[in-house]
Amino acid sequence: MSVKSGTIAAVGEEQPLSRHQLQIFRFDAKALVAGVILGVVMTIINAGILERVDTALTGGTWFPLAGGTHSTLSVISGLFFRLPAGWITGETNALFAVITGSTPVSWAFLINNAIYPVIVVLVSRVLSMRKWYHFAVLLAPAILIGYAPMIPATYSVFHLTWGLAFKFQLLTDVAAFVIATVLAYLIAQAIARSRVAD
Amino acid sequence: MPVLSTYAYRDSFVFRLDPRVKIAWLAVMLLLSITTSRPALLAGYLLLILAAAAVAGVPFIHLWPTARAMLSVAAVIIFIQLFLHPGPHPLLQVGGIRLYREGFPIGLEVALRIYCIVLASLLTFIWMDPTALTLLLLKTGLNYRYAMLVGLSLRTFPLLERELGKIYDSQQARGMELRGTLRKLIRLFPVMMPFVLRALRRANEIAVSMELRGFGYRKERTWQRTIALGSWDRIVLTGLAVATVAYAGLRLTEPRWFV
Repeated sequence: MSVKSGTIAAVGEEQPLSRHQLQIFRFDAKALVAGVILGVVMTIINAGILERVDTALTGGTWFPLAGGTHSTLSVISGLFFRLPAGWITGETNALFAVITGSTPVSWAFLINNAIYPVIVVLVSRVLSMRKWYHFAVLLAPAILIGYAPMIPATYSVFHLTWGLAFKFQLLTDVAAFVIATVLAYLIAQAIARSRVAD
Repeated sequence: MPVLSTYAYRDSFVFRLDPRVKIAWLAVMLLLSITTSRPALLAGYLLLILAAAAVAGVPFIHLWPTARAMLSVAAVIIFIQLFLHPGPHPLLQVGGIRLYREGFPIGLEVALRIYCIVLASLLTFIWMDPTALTLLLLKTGLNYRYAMLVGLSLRTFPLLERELGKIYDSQQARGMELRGTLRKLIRLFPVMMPFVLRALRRANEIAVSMELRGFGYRKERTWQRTIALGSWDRIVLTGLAVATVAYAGLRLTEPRWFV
């Protein structure tokens, strides 16, 4: 299947970080497989180490560490492999999070991870993603909107008050934003330099 | 410690069942766990799940890593509920934090429910052959390009886990101290970066080999195996349907038994 990759910038404009950045969809085998593989990578890092630490520290009510790596890998997947790879990454992670029991609210990831990549793909179309603050601009709406379904999930699973559920989510959002801005920027630059995603 | 116990065939009645029956069993267990609040009943469901594992010939040691990892989760959940549900019966006061007995049944209920959901899901995927799962998804009308991805994720999981182990070993051989969870957390980046890059290189290799074998060339493809419901599958499905109807009837007529 041919892939459209028209990302030539006008004179004086920055070239986008990924040559597929203007597209919304990529249906080639490489994008689909990379989506799955990044989902498995996210699960191994999160379910194996970070979500367990988060859950042991906070009881699964908020995720200061796992939120950061989740956002990082979701951004990488959406930025370089677009949709449906972004969805595949997220939903692979959600499926494994349920069956590994890494957190009590893992079923809510199914909803989070359907929304999050859409925001990543749409916002990254209008930014070159060459500067660190582009990642901050991308992550702010993605985290705020994409993680919002966790609020009713923590509210119902932990029998919390709405106020407490909002506060816990805000803590996750702030931690994820800080960690992912740094990690996603560094990893995305390394991927672009290595051309492993082209 | 491996994150996930993956499929390993055993010659037992349960492993030979059609994947639809296994998914139906999971759906029934999830329904029971989600709609029941009484801890004693939830503990009963947990025993039922462990009994199903024993009948299938899955040793408990395959479930133990997940069950053990969840013990700390369950303890924290119960602690949080003791703190969040103030009542007339204080249990313990540590500094400014007061724990109340009223939160204990709620904490126990949440912890048992999570155990049921996780162990039932894990067991279903231990029973489920990735190819059978792909064939099941094809039966739902999903295009084979996407149906194959679930099987691919199950197959690549142990490979990538081994890859991460190799990266840890390589970094340790370069003098990086990575023993213990705290050290792994602090030095996450030098491990995560090569892990992501190597995973993407592996994705390239898999995609190229799939395309060389004609992946995506035609709209349809043929399979060596097919799935079809046998007589035992139908009997078990009927049993599950009867159990679900009976449960729904009791849940509606005698709700206090379950709350």
